[in-house]
Amino acid sequence: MAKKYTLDQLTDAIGNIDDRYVADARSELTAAESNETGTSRAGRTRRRINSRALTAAAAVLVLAVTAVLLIPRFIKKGASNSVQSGHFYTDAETTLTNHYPAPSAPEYENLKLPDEQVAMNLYYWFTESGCRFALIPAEIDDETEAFESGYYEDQAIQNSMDLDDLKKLMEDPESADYIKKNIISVISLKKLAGGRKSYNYIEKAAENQPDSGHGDDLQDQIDEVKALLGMK
Amino acid sequence: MEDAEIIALYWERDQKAVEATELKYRHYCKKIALNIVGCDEDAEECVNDTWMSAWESIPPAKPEILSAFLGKITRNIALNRVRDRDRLKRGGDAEALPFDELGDCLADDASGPEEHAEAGELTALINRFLAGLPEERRRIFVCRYWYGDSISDIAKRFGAGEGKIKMQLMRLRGELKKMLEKEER
Repeated sequence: MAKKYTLDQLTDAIGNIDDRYVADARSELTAAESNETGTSRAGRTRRRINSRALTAAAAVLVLAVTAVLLIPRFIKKGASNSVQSGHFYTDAETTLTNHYPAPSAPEYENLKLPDEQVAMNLYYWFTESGCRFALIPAEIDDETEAFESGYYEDQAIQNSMDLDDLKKLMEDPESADYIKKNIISVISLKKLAGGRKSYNYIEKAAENQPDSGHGDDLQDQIDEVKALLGMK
Repeated sequence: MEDAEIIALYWERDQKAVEATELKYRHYCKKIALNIVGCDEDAEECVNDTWMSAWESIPPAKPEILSAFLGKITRNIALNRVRDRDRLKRGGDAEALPFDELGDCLADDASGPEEHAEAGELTALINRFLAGLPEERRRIFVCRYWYGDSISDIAKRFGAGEGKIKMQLMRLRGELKKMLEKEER
């Protein structure tokens, strides 16, 4: 029988790795962090420790008193108490739902993690920002792997911009030099979205790209960017 | 104060142990908690709960590495807090954690008969995985998936670009996935 792991199991198992690996990963930081004194709250913890025994005794007393006072009332009004509890629960649920509303836009329906965030971010860029292309840093050394892993999406979100932003950036010699040395390719967000055929919502977003004001021909823009960056 | 002295205070049931622990490890534990809960107030509570839990655990525990011992307590408390919070939110509105990336390491096919692994067994497997990694790659993995550090923090620390760190983490997840799959068969 195959063994399966859940995300929580894996996260917890990593939490229990050998202490030496935990300490080793932060050896030089621990010393620096240790020197930070901050505001001591040890007094609060000490009070918690001291009050624990007292609290336990008090809790027993309170329970006993509560039981003596309330049990006869519960026996007398059992049915109406249930209804009140039901109302309270419904109110609490409503409060939670209002506070943490679920995504309601049709585009977000049926989204599944972990692609949800990627999709929403791309959707945002397509529909709101007018960004039309992304710069892919030279650090990528395996394009297929990078594409399949979602790395392109990450980079697109981090490095996407419109033509005017890029032009401004290129006016600064230092930035221009850095970009020319570190950017190996330019990818259109439409192409990027098209690469994930299984996600209709991204395709839909790509189809609905607003006019960014730089003309409708995306390839022209990409060519312009490439020329700006000195790429062929 | 040296860790051995602090631990001795715990064993003597001297409450100065808590003060000494906080003085030395507050910032360390707070950073761990903050990485996970993402909110200063909650992180403070996690740290305060850590001191309480340490007081209750030592003795009988006698940690060999106090920082890791405390960090583990903080990590567990913070994770439990986040899981409770996410359960309340429902509807997939939970905030993403660095640990969520570990979903890449899990089997794609979640259907069929399954036998959940023992927690200790899985930890042993991860220890073997880490033991086989070069030092720097192991540290990067632990920083991200134990401490929950941000990509930018890790990049700064290792003097690399964020893209490179992301790529390394992606490969590490891929390698762990292969190891887990091998174990699952």
